[in-house]
Amino acid sequence: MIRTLVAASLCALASGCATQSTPPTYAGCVTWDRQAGAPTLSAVSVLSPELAKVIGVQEVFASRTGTGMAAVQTAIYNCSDVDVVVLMRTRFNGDRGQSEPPSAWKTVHLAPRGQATYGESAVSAATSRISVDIYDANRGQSQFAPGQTYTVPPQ
Amino acid sequence: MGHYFPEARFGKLGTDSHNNSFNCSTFPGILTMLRTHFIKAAALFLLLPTIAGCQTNPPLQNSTGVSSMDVDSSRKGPVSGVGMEGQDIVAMTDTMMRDMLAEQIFADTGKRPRIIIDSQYFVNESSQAINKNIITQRLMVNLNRAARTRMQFVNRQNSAMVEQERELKRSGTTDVGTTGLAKAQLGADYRLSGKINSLDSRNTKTGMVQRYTQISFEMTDLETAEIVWSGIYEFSRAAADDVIYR
Repeated sequence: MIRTLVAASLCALASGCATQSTPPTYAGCVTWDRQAGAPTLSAVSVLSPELAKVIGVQEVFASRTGTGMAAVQTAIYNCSDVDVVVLMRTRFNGDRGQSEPPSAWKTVHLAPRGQATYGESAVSAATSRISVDIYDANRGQSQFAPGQTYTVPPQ
Repeated sequence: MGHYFPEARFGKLGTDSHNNSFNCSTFPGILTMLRTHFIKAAALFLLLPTIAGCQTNPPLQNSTGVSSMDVDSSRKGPVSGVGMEGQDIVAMTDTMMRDMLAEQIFADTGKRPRIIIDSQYFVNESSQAINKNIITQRLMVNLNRAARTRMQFVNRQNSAMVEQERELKRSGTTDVGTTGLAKAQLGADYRLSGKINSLDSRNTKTGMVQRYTQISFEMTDLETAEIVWSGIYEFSRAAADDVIYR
């Protein structure tokens, strides 16, 4: 009797009752976990492993503002059918390391299957290289403290 | 019981004098009591090294509370609601600063326009009480650090302080200092103004609250009244958490 129940439960799970921590993505949408390492997107880092399974980066475009400062535009898209809110910021580097402090985290809303463009400009003329960080906006700050237990993050 | 002893004061291992009363009526009774005490003492003797071996941290003084922690002011912290918070002020002032510095009128032309940035014309019409100086001060400091070669900042809030020192120098009470005398205090070309507005809604069944907050900035030419730059920062938040902003 117990064996039958266990077998039935396993079958139910296998047949579509299984849950996952990230929303499913629609067919054909390339998420960041399959894009990471692409040479054209090397300036982008997605810091949340869950987010990497939901969003993708379309392009990163560097330019100069009217005042001659370095600027970046990054287009991202949502591969899921739920709203996704991300935080994005830019790090600025020059010939001698960091040229100015990173920008503040900016909130970017992605509609279901939607796209959004994030832009930032430098304030120092010494900035010559720019990189963009993307993080999960709905993730609270959890800090390391000795004596606590932690879950193993998804790879 | 007759007595109330708070557990936090005496702890769980505290003894109760009522249970330890001594009865000398019969000898077998004494033997039984001694045996019980011996077993208790032995158990305690065995337990003490175990407790000492397991204890790696100092005992908590307030086990039910949450100790203070340093949080990143540019991200949402553990206490957050629907209103304007630290991360919004950091993001908003950073965005406005970058936007302003990308404007052609503040380009590095050697002219260095003079600007007043303070909270005098920054109006809060939102439902949230907020110290407006937090916004204008951060914006001014960030701009000053990033673009001192491109613009001059005039301290109009403390013009009385400057005037007092000028009087002392000119009356001979003090010497003239090391940087020399100026004909007059600086006149400004532009001044920052702005408004904080909000729109609140509440679901009476669930108690859920939603707030749209809008902060607008304007830079006005103090000779012609032309608005030479403007920026807006807005966000909407919904929550059922009970958070009080002070």
